[in-house]
Amino acid sequence: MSEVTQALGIVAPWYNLAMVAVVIILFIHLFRTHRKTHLGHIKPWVLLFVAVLVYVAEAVFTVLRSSQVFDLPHHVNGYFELVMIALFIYALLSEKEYLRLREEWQHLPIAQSKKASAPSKKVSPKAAKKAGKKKR
Amino acid sequence: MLTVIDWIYGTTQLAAVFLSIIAGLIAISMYRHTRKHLELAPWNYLIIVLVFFAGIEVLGGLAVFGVYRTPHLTHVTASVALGFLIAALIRKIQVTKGWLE
Repeated sequence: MSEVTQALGIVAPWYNLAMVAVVIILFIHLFRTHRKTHLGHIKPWVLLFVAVLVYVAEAVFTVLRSSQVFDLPHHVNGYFELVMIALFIYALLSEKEYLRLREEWQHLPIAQSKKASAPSKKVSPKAAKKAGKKKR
Repeated sequence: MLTVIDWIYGTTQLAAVFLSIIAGLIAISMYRHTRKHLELAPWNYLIIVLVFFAGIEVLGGLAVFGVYRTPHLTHVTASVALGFLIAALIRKIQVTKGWLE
């Protein structure tokens, strides 16, 4: 193993940890902003945030195992990865479904979409009779 | 001699590699949509993150089965993926604030 490779192996987990901290802060900022503005589809991002938290848990368990504080079996890492990938796939499919629904709504004819969006008004029988007389 | 735990670990790793490749393919198939809409700009970066994640899983699977082991490459790939995730989040915050309209 060359010296550069060794150095990268030592340093990389630490700056990865710093980047994960930045990612978590940005996620919290995103959720706060969305709570104020309600713009865009946020569900896939919530799923991604959960996946990042699972990644952090896996990293913490790896560090605890390497420092011999808490020895979690190796095969549990596989479960963590499966959970993360399942969340990623769910996020992607959720966004695809959202796009499909949005495109369907955009392709609706204007009259039909107005009908769908207009609130239903109840007309009293008297008002209906008056309207009929006026027409005559 | 392999134990039951080894078999379980191997199976979960293979499943993870297989599913991550599927996730990468779904992400690539979404690229067409993200080009059309400006508010989907963060997904451009996120697709790259998911493709890199698939790469990380493939490298992890190869390391577990003892085919090819590169600790530095695994870490560097994760760093690149995290960098793109930060870019995607910044873009998404801009979209949520309504700055890209």
